[in-house]
Amino acid sequence: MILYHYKLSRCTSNVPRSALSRRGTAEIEMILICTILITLLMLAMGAMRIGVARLGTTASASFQAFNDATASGNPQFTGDAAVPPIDGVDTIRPGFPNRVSDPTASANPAGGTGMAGVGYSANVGFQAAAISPTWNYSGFPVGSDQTFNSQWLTSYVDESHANLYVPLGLAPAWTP
Amino acid sequence: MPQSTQPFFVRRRRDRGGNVGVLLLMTIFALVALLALVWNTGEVGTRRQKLQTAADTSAHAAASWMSRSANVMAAQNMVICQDGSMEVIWRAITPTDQAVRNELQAEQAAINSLLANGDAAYLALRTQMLQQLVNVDNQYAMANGAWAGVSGLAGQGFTDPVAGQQFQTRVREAGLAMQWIQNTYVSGQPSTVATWPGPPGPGGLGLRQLVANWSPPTDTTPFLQAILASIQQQLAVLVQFETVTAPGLAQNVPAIAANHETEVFTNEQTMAQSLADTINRQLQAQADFYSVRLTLATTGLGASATGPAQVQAPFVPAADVPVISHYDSIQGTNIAIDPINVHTDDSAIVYGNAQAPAPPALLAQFPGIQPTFNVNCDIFEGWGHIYAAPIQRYFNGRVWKDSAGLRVYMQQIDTLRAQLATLLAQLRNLGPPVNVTALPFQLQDPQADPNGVQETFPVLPKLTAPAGASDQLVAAVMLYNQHGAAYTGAVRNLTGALTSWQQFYNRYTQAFAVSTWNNNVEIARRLVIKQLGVNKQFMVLASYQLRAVPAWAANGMSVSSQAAICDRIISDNIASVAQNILNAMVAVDPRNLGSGFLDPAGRNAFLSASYSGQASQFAFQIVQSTATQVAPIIAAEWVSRPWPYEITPPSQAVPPVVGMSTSDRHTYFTILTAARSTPGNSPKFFMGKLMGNSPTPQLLAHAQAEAFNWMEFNSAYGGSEVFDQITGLPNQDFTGCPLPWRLSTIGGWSWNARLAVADALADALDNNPEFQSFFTEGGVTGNDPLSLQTLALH
Repeated sequence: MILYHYKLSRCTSNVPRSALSRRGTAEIEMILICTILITLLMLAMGAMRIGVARLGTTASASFQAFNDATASGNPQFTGDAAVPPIDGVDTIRPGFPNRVSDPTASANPAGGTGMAGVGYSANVGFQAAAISPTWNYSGFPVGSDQTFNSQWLTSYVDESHANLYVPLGLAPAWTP
Repeated sequence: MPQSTQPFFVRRRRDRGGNVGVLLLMTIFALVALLALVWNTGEVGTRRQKLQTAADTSAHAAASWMSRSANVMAAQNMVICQDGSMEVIWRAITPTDQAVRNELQAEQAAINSLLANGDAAYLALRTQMLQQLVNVDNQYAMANGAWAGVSGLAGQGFTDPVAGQQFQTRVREAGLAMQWIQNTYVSGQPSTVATWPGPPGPGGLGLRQLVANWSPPTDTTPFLQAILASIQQQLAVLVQFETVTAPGLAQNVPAIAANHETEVFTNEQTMAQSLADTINRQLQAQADFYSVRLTLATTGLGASATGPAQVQAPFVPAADVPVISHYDSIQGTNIAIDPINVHTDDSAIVYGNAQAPAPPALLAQFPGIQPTFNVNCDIFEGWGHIYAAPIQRYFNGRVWKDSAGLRVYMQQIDTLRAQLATLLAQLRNLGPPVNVTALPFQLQDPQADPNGVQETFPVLPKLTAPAGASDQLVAAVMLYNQHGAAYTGAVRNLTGALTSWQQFYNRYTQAFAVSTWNNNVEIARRLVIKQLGVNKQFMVLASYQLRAVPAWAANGMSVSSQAAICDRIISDNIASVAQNILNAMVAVDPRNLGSGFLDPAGRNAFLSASYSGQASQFAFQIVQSTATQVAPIIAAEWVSRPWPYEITPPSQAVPPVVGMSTSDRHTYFTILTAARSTPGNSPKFFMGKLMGNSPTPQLLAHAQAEAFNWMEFNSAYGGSEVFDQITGLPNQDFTGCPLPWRLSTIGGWSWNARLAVADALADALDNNPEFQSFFTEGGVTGNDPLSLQTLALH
């Protein structure tokens, strides 16, 4: 508004103003423009914070997905089917736990605008997805998965053994 | 002139108003550009990170599917082994049942016959034993009388005083020994000579007390009935065995097993074939999830001219492993070596028999020795034979595990027989089994000779009248020798009778059922595993092949196999050769050790004991001489043969090189992915027109993952694999390579996925056009393998 007024007076007035009358104008402009500069700087800082947060959530979600796939002891299936499990060989002999671990990492970077009481916040997040586990004998990393493996193997062996365990004194199919 | 009408440049020269505003606008622009730069950097970094995550998780997912399929394959091979093991048990039941039933029924018939007709042999043995005790006393009386006659005449003067002194010493020793035999060994009195042994029975009992204590009721009916009752109990157990197994025997288990094995194998093949499609579907799901473009690559197998690689399963049907032609240096013929039933049947490593000549010096010394010995230089089914090599490790263990169930019945039968032995001992007043110490061959003279030496003399010593002895003394000596021999012979016979007496009913008490079961299981095991190897209905690791012993390991394998073959030939043949030599040595008695013995049985037993060590040494020399000539020939053939290595043997010594080679890892178990941003998922730039809307070239990420087995470094599995030494098998045989385990054992059921250093990137770029196009579009236009390898490893 001040600029607008200055321009109006500058364009429409035919009366030359004295140097004295313009004294301090630049300083006032500088003071006023600082608000904008500070806001821009704050926005740049905010952009940096958001960028760092985005990188952080991406790395965090990726790490969590791999952690679930290789070392985590808890079942990881989140149920949101972000990546629907592929049946694969499981269609031929179902029974193995077929999970996708798709953890989401999020962050809420916040910052100020340079004006008291006026701030902003953002929500950034990232979702990664890894399949796990690998249906190995021990069921590692999810120990309880050995139950699935046991049932899978036993049911398979039972197809030929079911009526023969007792007559032939055979050892249980599990542990193999 | 109004200011506004003045020329612009005139006005600008005079009026500096607004200059700061222009500067401020420029500053604001710079700050906004800074803001855009910061934002866009974050945007590119995030998109790049997301792309890398997509590549990483997709590669890991593909390797996970490969691992899953390997684990499922290992499990299914174990199912096939369990089917085979089931057939083994089924096949072992009938012959075991028949053998045990035949034996028990034969025993039952024998006992019934004894009950009906009386146990004449038992009573005769008892009577015989009592008569032998009487005979011992009678022979003692005569021998002692004869000795007294000699002793009375031994004091006369002799032509050779030294010989006379020796004769008198020997007469004294004979008297001492005879008293010791009769009083201590037979009658159970403490020995008068402190250094001589006490009575032969437990608790200081002599033969006389043992005979008396072991005097059973003359009626054998109670213990025959006890035997009969036990047999009936054993038969009842056998009936239980038959009842339990009948439902199993009624089924055609070999057909059931074969059908199921075929079904499982079909599933294995279907799963193997579906792996590529599964991995591609998973890849597409990942691409959709991350909204990126993804492609797959391998180092060669399954690479596709268009589109992602069709990842091949890291296993193949056993029948697909190629047979190898080989020249058998022993037989002098070309043979075909089966990769599954390795070195078996027509391709077995056999040498035949070798003739081992006895050394001329030995022949001259012992004419009774065979001039040559037949040395068997083979083992059953040939050196280094392996049936169904890829699965035999788990199969053998499973058979042992499965056979334990029905072995329980056989153990019950053997336990009943052990209980019968205890019962019979009670009924026959035998008490617990007693080991009756045999009459010693020699005793030590308690008195030292003039030289201070306590000589050892035979029991009983043979006397020889010195030169110049009177005819009366010569006759007395002859009488002593005659009766002394008869006496010690009677004592030894009584000892033998007591042992026979104890063991009279051993036929009915000795354990036999468990060994019968184990033997039949072993026979069936060999049959079934051989057939599994012939059928080849299971999967093997793709890297499984017949391969030559690695060059660095050949010398070690030669030394190791040669030593093992030599030892086996010696151990298999030494007993028969040693026995032949021992017989000849006993007959010749080169050291004249038996000259002092009176009775032939004692003499022979003493000579056998005395010469057995020497005979074994001679036998060892003879057999070893042949074995050391033959073993290198067999070992040379052994080392020249290909062996069934599950993975490519290491190119360097183990350790330090352990585990799978880089070549195998890359060829069969490695998958690479490349990810590229899509137009819709490219970085969204602030002030895009100024900054450029998307980076050119587009973002690119790649990753490498592989399937690996946890047990690769476990000392019970891959960690114990050696390539320059023989590998022992559970049945005492040995082979020339580590035993396969990665797709057929519990340890093999441990495959997992991991991200890896992208050391296969160069090969992947060479073999996968789409993969390469991702890189080209991403700005990577060169593919210098060395550069890529260097970059990947640093």
